[in-house]
Amino acid sequence: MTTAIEPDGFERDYPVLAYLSRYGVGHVQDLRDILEEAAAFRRHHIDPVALDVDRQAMADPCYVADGVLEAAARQGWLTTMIPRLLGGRGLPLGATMMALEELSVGCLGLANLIAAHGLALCTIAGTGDVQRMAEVCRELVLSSANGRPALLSTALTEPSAGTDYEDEDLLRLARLSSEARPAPGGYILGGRKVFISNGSIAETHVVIMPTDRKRPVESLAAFLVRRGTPGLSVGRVERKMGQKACPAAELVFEDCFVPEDRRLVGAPVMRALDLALGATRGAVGVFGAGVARAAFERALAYARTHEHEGRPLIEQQWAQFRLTEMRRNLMVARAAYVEAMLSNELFGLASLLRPNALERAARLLPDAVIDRLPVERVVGSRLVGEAFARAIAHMSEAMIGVSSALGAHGKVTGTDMGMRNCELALDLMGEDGLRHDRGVEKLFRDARLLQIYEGTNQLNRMEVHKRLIAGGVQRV
Amino acid sequence: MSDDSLVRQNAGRFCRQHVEPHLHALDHFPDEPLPSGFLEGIASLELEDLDTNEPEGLAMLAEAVRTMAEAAAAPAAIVLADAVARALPATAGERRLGACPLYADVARPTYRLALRHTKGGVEISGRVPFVVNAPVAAWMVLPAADAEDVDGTFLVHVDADQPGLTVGKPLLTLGMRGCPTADVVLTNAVVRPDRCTPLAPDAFERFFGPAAALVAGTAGASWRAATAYARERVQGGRPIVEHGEMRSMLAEMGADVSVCDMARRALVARDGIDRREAITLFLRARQAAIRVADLGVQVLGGNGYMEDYGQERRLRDARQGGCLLGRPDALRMEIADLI
Repeated sequence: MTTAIEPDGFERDYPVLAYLSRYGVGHVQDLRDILEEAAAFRRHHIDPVALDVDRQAMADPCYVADGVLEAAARQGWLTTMIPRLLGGRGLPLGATMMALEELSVGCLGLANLIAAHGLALCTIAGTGDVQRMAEVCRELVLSSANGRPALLSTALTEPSAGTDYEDEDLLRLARLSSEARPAPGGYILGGRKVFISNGSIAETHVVIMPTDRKRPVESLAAFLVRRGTPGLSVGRVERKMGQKACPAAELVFEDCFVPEDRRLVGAPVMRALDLALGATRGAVGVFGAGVARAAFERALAYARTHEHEGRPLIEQQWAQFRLTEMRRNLMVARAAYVEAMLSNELFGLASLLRPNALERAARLLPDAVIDRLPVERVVGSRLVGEAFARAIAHMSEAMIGVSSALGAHGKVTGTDMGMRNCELALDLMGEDGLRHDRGVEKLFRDARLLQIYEGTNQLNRMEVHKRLIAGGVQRV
Repeated sequence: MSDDSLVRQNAGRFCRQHVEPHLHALDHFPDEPLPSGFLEGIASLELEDLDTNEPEGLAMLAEAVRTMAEAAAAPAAIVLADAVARALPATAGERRLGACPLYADVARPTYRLALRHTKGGVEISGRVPFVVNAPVAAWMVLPAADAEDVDGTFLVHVDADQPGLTVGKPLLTLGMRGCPTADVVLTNAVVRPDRCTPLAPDAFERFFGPAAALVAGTAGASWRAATAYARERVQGGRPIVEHGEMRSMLAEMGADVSVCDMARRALVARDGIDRREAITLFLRARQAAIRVADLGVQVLGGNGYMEDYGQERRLRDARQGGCLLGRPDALRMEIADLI
């Protein structure tokens, strides 16, 4: 006979992880610690400034909350997934995602400012080019320690092709305007990329372009292009509905020469994108859960302090049901992203980056020791590179399919739940929800982008259908 | 030319002159000033002459509101708040711009001033948030409750220069940003007893029609923007209007635009419609309009989220329009009460 154990708050909120912890998975304590740390960061650095940053960026779309970025960099929030051996925090994908939920409760725009470079890192990792990976990771780690992080952006979307780039079948027929023409010693990049998160402030751009527009899938290439490279300029910085704290910019390439050694080598770029998006779409689902929670918490606080027809809202059954629905939506969003996270750690890109014994041992070393190790040379060596590329090549279509589809599923579910909770909060609060100083209208504006970027929710539904339904569910 | 057509023509001319060239400034109020001539342009329409107690007057108001909302909802909200404020017999003769808490269910307001009869008149204190037009109006109508009879709601008519009245800074709002809105505080303000009108429960019911016209205007504009974009934008080598899911979304939008228009027409005609039906129709219209605007953003994808294309503004406007004349959740409960 077993004895029932009362769940604490953590176990109530994360039943899957509680289950795992009881069966001896050791990293759950790490997850608790990272959550508390993220909550403290949010309370001190995000909550107090979120509305002010939003309003400043409304007036000036180029505005960047340098103070928040600096604090996040110094505290290691930009390097959570970078291996400890390279000076990062070496956390598993799951820990990073849960921390992201906490940050996004405070402000989706600031959370994206802190996390948007994740897509670039994942894309580089997805190619298996460990030499470039080690190089950009070290630069990000060292610059973060100084409080001036060398951010990365991913330049994918074009004015006439956004979703096209994220689906092989669409890309074959897309009307692309950009091209990286081969030239002696490298490539000449031409065209425009738009809506690039952190594009105006990134130090390095991961630029995705075909080398032959007539064969876009086969010739798709990825380049590391530094800010200030001749021929690269920042065009307009967009005025967006929300997430204003994270600038979205246009990048203009005019005869921009990039040397051969700045092209990422390894796995085909389409596969690298597949792997990268499989991880980062789940993270957008995390943002959805974060905003679902923020809307729920604000609506609950409102219901506790406001009356309707002489009685507190919280005492009225219809309001209790609204709040219950919001709580349920949050749990649905969480469940979906936890599934995405676990499947990625088992089968997706994160399975290749999962901390091994050496990496766990490295966590015990202080930064000063890590900095002196010649890890960049070792990690970036040909031997390691070949091993990593082999690992990527050996990933089965079924493995990638499941992790990619559950990432897409986490994204669609989390973002739809996030929007739904914003709607419910606005309905409950009436005119009080419409004013900027209450914060709920900002949640609504911020959340709406989640259903669009990292592939529209329509494209992500197609992805789920293609990978999990059309061909029958494959066992992995 | 019919009266409706004339109103539509005048409102359209006003929008072309004072709204469409200044959408950015209007949408960035209060951080940017209102365009010069904007409020004067609204005044020049002389909509205050419409008698909204008469079907013709109400229909013309609805037509003006809908025409404006197709360009931008902010001026439509200004006109609507002014019309609601002057619906009382005591305010009917006002020529200047009026203000009222347009988002409150005035029959069951969440926020009311406290009213007390004294020898010198009626003393009023308290705070009413989110009063539409308050920063630019010459007078306003505010809900109040008698301290000795809290069940009775009054509407108090106060001038903007009333001693004891403080109008807060213009609020930054989700949508309709060019419609100046502020919190209002009265501190021991004394007004004449004839400025306090006992509230008839159905005093504002007729305005569900113009309110539906406002959300129908945003829906119509969203629909046109989305269909035009879907014909132009190519994905996977063919216009997105040819993609199955896109066709389904556009069909949904078209159906919802029809719902808005049917609700608007029925509410404006007011033919045998009681309060329960009025609320029901408005809630359906607002739900449909929000869905159209939301799908419009999705059809436009990344462009739909950017200010340039105007669709994100239409979504914000539709969402805010959906809160007119009462909290949606509270109105739903009122339907239950009326059943």
